[in-house]
Amino acid sequence: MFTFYPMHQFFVRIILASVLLLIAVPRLQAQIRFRIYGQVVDGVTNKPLANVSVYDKKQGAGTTTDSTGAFSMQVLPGPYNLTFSAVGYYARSRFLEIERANIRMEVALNPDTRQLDEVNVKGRTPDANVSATQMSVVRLDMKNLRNIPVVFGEVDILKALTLQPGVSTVGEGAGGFNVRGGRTDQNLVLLDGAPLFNTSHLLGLLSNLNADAIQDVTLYKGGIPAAYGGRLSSLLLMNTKAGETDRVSVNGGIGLLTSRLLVQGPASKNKKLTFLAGGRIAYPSFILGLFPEPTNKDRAFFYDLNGRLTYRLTNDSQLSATVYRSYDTFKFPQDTLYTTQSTLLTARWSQRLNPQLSFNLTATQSDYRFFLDGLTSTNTYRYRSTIRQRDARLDWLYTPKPTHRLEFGGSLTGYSLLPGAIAPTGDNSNINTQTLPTEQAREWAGYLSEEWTPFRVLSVQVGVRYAQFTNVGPGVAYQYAEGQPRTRESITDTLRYGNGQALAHYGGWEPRLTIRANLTPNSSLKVSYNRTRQFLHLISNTTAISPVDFWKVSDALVPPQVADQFAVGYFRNFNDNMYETSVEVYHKTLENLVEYRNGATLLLNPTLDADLLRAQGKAYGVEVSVQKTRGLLTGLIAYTYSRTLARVPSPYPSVQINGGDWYPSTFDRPHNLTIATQWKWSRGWTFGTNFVYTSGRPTTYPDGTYRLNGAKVLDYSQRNADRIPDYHRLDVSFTKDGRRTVGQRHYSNWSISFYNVYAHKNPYSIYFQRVNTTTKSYQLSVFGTIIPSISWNFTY
Amino acid sequence: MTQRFTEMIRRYTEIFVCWATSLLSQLKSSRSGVLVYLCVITLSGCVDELQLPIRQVEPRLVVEGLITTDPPPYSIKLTFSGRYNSAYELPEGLLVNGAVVTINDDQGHSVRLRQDPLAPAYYFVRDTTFRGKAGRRYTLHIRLDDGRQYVSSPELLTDVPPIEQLTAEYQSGASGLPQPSIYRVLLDTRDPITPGNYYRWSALAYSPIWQNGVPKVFESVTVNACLTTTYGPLTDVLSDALINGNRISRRPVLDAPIYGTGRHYVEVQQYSLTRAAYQYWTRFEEQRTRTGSLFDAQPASIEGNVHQQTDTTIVALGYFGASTISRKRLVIPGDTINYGRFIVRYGGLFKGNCSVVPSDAELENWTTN
Repeated sequence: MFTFYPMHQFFVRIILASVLLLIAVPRLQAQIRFRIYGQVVDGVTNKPLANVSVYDKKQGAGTTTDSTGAFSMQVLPGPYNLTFSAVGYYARSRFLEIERANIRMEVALNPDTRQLDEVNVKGRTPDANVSATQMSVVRLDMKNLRNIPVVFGEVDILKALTLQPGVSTVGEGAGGFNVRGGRTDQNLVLLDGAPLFNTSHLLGLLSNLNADAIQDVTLYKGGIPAAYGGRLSSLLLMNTKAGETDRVSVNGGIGLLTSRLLVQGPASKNKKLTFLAGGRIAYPSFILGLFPEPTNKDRAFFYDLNGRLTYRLTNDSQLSATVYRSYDTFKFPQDTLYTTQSTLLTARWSQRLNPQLSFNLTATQSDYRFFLDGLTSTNTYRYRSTIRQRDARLDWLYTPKPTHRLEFGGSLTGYSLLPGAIAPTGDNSNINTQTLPTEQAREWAGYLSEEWTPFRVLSVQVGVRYAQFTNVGPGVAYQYAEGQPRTRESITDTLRYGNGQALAHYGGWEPRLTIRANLTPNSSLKVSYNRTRQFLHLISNTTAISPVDFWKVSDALVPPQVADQFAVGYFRNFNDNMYETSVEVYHKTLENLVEYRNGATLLLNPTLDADLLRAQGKAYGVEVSVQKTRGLLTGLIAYTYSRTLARVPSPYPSVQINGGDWYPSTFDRPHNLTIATQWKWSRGWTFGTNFVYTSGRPTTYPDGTYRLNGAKVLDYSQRNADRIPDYHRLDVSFTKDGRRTVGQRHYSNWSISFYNVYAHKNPYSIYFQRVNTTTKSYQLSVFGTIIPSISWNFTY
Repeated sequence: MTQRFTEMIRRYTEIFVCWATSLLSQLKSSRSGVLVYLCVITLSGCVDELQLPIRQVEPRLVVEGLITTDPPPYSIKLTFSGRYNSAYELPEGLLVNGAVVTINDDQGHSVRLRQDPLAPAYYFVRDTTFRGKAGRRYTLHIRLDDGRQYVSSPELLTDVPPIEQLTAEYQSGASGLPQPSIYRVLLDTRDPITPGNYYRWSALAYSPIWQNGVPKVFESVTVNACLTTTYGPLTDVLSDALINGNRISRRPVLDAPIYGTGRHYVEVQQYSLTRAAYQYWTRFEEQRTRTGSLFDAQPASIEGNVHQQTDTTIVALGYFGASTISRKRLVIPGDTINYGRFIVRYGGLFKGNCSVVPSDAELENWTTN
């Protein structure tokens, strides 16, 4: 099998060579520099625009605006022709001459309705694909999401991400996503800086993020910035919209599953305070009611809410607070009721002290609760598990020179988890109260990162993060006999820890590095390396994540997961950045993954440690992507070849999986092809298509039969030795943008989608069952038919 | 237009059914869950049968046996895994012939098992002086004729509380379906205060039925009445983890079908289990009821407590158990069923398949035996 091990040496050489080069370069002679700074706003709403590229092509100087729309760059005296560009807006150029003073500018960009969907995913500047230091980054263009065909007509951020190379899922309708061979719990999903522990509605059918309320979505598959850590495989950053400043606007929509409403606008006369409030509510219960007995007694319901207040104290200072809540219930009649709820609260103070120095002070709280109510007559109970995380972080940005961008800061985190508790409800219940001890942990982290652009053709982003984690009491730790697999019977001692006593300490450095070297003005080579650590583990023994899963912090027997990723990529743009192409190769090793003994008991198990195993993982792959970013026909062709493998190197054969050999992970899907196009027609119509092809995921088929207890029993001796058939489908959509002019305020959009046009019965799973005396195999397809949907959206 | 709308609704319904199907493994342990599941499977177009062959890897030894506090005989069944085509016959090649099988206890007693000449997969303890006792540990030794030796981990025979009471509850069958009404048999017992008790139940009922579905009366004696046997769930186990020290009340153990009028005879056995045995049967049941959903646990070999003596990594399938048994019997008079109305509703629907039944004498004294 092809492996990338020799690549390490190659990387080491490149890194060494680069470091030597950097030291050897003589410092440029100092010259008087001046500053160009100011703010970029939306020409229609006056809202500050983040991530706008400010660039002078001739001089090669450039920067981007921050979340308050502000930018600042140091330049030498001379003439400049600055271009301001952002996705979904007309680019704008300003000519100016710098002689002997700093210049402040206010720039308004006009939204481009026809080019709104330049392409669904795009970098910040027209040539960012080649010129930005970062690699392995995906940015979703929120304005174009509506033009991508979707199931049930629900615009879905996470489903749109799974069209990207390197991002996959175990099956349609399954919650979570896998990035470059990582598990679903290895994605750090941050909404306004607060971690989101659950990203699904209806147990995975839809994601719980309301695309209307979200300003921007950025996914880092590699080269994760030093400011972030705590998850191994990816970083997904999302921010709630700030709220328009010029007037109150209302938009919303009606779809087959949900209805949405979003109100935003100024809340004070001086327009310094703006607000946003939005919600989405579902009515699938109505559809379940159309079922025959007894399914029509099932109940499903969900909602999510987003809110944000933004207060601009001065041009350089801003306060904001956001709230997010998501709620789900699903009930099987006379049986069980599932409830999940997530609540996120954040507060942020952004301050620019001077044009070079600014900071963000952020406090967040994220709370996730799961309830399971048993409704069987003599056994009524409520089971619950919860997790709460509180963070405070301070992030500094210092840009002394255009060639330097220094970021540093730190964070404090507190975790409080209830892994599981059950209590009787009602008077006749036979259930006893049982509560597993609450897990508490503290973490602090500091980081320093520098992006240095010594020449236009070379930039280096080098950073380091240190995280220190402590699992604190009160708590109980079991000690197990040495030299044998851990079981409940091999416990030799029980250690009890008092309030605040440390049960376990872990810490370590996490180096991050990205280097870009331009080969020609239109092409570049980038390499990146990052190490990540994860102290929080999702305990889940099923193929897809399920609501019953719960979180656990590292303790003495469950060390943090550690991953190292190397990536190298070649990036090239053609035809004045109209076509962006890239090839990326990555190799990732993962240590201390959580795996489970065969037949492990996970729920309410006080000695869970005894059922957990330590696994290793490795993942590697090639991602090739070609995008057309401008014109009436835009789109993406992406192909990925990737493998992801795991093994349990336990010294005890009785707990090994597949004899301790490498075996494919459940989400190992080697071939992955996506073709997504959007074609602008006249009168505001857009025709969108998606074609997706992926290899089937590994699964375990029976490989033996025997007779026991009067029944024919199947033996499954090799995990993931088989694969379900390949997956493919085509979707089309027609969207009508009701706007006639760019600045039109009242309009409505229609969106008609056909998911799985050729009604291919994609297998979701394959299983074997005994029917009378024979064993038969069956295929279950979830969306095995064409799914038409329609939705109507309005803006007022 | 209305037709198109209906078609669309139907399509959505189908998708939701498929999606709901994928969730159902979460509730498969409950009876209503299984019912919903069966309904869904038959209704929806989301499940298709495939023709996948089942691979056969090297045959593995399968051990099935139990020593109890009842007097002998005790049987140990030894087979190999392999291709099983017929429902009842054991293929010749998959029987274990000529093995030397012994059971030892932790006090040095040992007994040799004898292979049954008529059912060669079975090896029996017939020595009446060797009888299971609570608190003893028992070990099974097997030497196959090719010299391979297997041994079980010492299995503790634990005590079990008595069954306090059995009750039966009439439940009417769904109207419009050819399904009989039932008597649901419910069990009460009290879990001891010590944690770590595990139970297994097996139940059987003899229910009245008429040979060709309708009673044939000759000189006011029904001549074609007989009894048919119904068994409880194959693997009905429970841990006291959630209910330690409490009553286990109204636990359903068996549904006795009402095919005809008359008395039902019920016997329930309550077995003690070790934690390992409980885990084994839980996994066994979990795998038997897999629904193919993504929420199923990863499948794996269900390995028990028997392994090769020299290489403990080679584990046999099946389990060698040790249990105390407590029993209780019940006669359901069945006299609340209105004979005339019963014949009108069910007459001819349930044709008798009269099985071997206990003798009249035994039935007379059913609850006193």
